[in-house]
Formats: sequence, C-alpha cells, structure tokens
Amino acid sequence: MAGQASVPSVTEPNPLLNEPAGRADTPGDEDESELCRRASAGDRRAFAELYERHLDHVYRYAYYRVRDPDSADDVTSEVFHRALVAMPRYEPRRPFLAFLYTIARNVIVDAGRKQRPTASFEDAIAHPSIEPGPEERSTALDEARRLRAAIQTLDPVQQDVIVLRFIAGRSHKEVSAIVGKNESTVRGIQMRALAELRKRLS
Amino acid sequence: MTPNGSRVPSGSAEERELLALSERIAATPHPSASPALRAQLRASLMSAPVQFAVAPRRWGWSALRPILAAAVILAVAFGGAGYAAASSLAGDPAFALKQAAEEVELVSAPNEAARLRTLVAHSDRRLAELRIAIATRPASANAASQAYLSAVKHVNDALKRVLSQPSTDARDDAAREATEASESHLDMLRELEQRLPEAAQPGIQRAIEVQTDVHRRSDELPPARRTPAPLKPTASPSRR
Repeated sequence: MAGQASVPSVTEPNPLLNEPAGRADTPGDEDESELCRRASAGDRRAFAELYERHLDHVYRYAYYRVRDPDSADDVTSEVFHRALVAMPRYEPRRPFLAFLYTIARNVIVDAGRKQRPTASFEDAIAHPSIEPGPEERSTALDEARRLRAAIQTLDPVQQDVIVLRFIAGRSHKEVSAIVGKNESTVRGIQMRALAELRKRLS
Repeated sequence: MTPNGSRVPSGSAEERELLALSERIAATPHPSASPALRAQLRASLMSAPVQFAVAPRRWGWSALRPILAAAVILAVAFGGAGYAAASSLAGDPAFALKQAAEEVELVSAPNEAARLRTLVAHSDRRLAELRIAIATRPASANAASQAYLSAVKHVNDALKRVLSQPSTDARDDAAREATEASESHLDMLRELEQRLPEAAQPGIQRAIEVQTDVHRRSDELPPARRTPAPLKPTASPSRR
C-alpha cells in the first residue's frame, strides 16, 4: 500500500523531524475530489469506490489501535457507516483519508470508554489475542505482532502518532490535523513514543 | 529539548536508533482487511438506508413538512432497531423497517427522475442482500431473490414513466443511470445464478428478463454528452 511506503529515508537531513518525501497515497487526487463530490450528493457507487480505495488504510489503523482483528473489523465497519452518513457534511477541501482517520479515531475513543483500552506488553505477548494463522507463522509477522503489542502499551495519543506517521505514512501536518495538536507537539510526542517503543522492544 | 520539540539531540546515536526503529515499523508487513470483511462491509454500505438529497428540491417547506414529520416519527419509533434493519435480509422481521424507510425515500423524491434514481438505489440494495443471502444464509435466498425481482420491476415501471416524458438532462441522466446499473446487475446475476438454490432459480431468471428489458431501453436515450455540446443552440426549445 502506498500509505506504508513512506519509510523515512536515511538520506534526508533529519527524517524524524521532517516530512516523508514523495508520498502519494491516493491515486489521482482530482479524480478523488470528483468521487467525494458525487458521494456527498448521494451517489452510492462513488462512495463504494472511495471505500475500495481506503478500506485497507482504515483497517490497518484500526488493527494497530485495538486489541484483536475482530475489533478491527468492527471499528472499520463503523467508520465507513459513519462516513456514509456524514458525507453530505463532508468538507471537500479536506483530504478524504484524513476525514476517515478522524472518524476512526473517534470510533476508537468511543469504544475505549466501554472496554479496557490498553494491555501490558507482557500480557499482550504472553496472551496474544490473535491466533496466528498459517500466513502469520513467519518470522516477519511474529515481529509485526510483537510490534503491535508494544504499540498498544503506549498512551492513546502516542499510538495515534506512531501509527499515523510510520504505518499510515501521514505527514506531521496531517497527523497534527487529525489528532488536534500543533506540529511541534506532534513531533515531541513522536520522539517520546519512539523512545518508549525502543525500550519495550529491546 | 531541541528547538523541534524533541529531547533527542539532532544527529545523536540515540536519534539514529530511533530512525532505525521508525524504519523498522514502516517496513513491518502490515495486515489488510480480509476478503470477507471487504465483501460484507461493501454490501452493507450499499444497502444501508441513508437519506441523501438526490435532486434539487422543488417543493416548499410546507409541502415537505408532513414527509419530514413522517421520517422523524419513523426515526424515533425505530431508532433502536435501525442498525438491525440496515443489516436485515428479506424475510427478517426488521426488513419491514428497511422497506418503510425506503418508502419515505420514495415519497420524498420530488419528480419521476429522482424517483427512478431512488428505485435503482433500492435495487442495488436488494442485489447486495441477495449476495449476502447466498453467501451466508442460503435459506433466505429465495425470499431475497423475490425481493430483488420486485425491486427490479419497480425500476422498469419507473423507467417507462420517465421515458414517456419529454427529454431533459435530468430525465436522460436518470434513465441512463438505470440502464447502466442494469448492465452491471446482469453481470452479477449471471454469476450468482450458478450458485443459487433451486427454489430461487425462477425468481432470478425472471429478474434477468426484466433487467434485460431495462437495459434495452438505453436504445431510447440520446447519446451521453461527454463535454458541453458546442453545436447545440443555446436557446433551443427542445430542452427545458
């Protein structure tokens, strides 16, 4: 996915503090604007096209922000249903994916009020909520599960910043708009969250 | 703290470690939505009864007031059951709520073109429900195919009424949308008929016939305008 292709390059002056370069997460922004316009006017097929484009982005964000894949399915479903209802009020100048991430964040906050929001790292590793399937038995995905468990021990804002910056590949500016904090604050949160993750994973 | 808000001095060994960690996070294989979630959620979104403004309003507030009142009463009365209704299939008790909501949508349509668009949207929902029924609840497939057939008949009748009116952009666009939808429906129906239980076969065969009839009506439409027509006189009386 394009969203995850934004690995900060070591050739950039200071990748942790600057924006990822050359990221293009949505094919054809003009085309997407037209789809958004039609979806806002009630064109269900246009909304379905937007859904196909962004389902994996939303799912991935949800997957890293909740404890298990079933919850990620539920969050993803709720996000798109809320987005469908909200389409007539969608502000067309805003990137559609940022609109979806904001809804996703709200859905997870709402769900967090009803459930235990985070688990300890040791608990998550000792009692993984995901039964590894055949494809997940590889070393690479073992690391993904370990990383996911570590991310979930961070506080919710740190989780948002790490997932949006390095898994979804959003810029500081986009993350700033989604989490409602200024860019320098987002940078600070990002550094502290990475330092915390490094401790967890070492 | 650095001026950038970081506690990590720029260029330090710690920063390089954090950079490596961020690269590791980004390079980790990340999951994707399962095919089952993708299909079921898409079907649910296509069939969710959400009220959109599909055409410019031509009625005043006073005329709309009873309709809005009915919609509010329905929303209040059935609010708790709305989610169940949205995901219900033909034959479920909550399906009647979905149909009631759709009736409100139809009553709200200001003209025949808008009504046709609404009916096409309803037929999209019935087809999505049929797919879900075949995949998850084969016992409901017959009821779902009958509900779909009924929806398609409504589309066909509405299309006939629309095409009997003088040609306008709104009329032509709505009719074209219906015939284009029929084409994609026919593709899906031919795929689905292989998997349908025996009892549901007559309903689906009849639906294919009706959709074919709908699709043939595209012959009665003028060609779609790709760009603003420069040769058309601006004061042409043929279009309102």
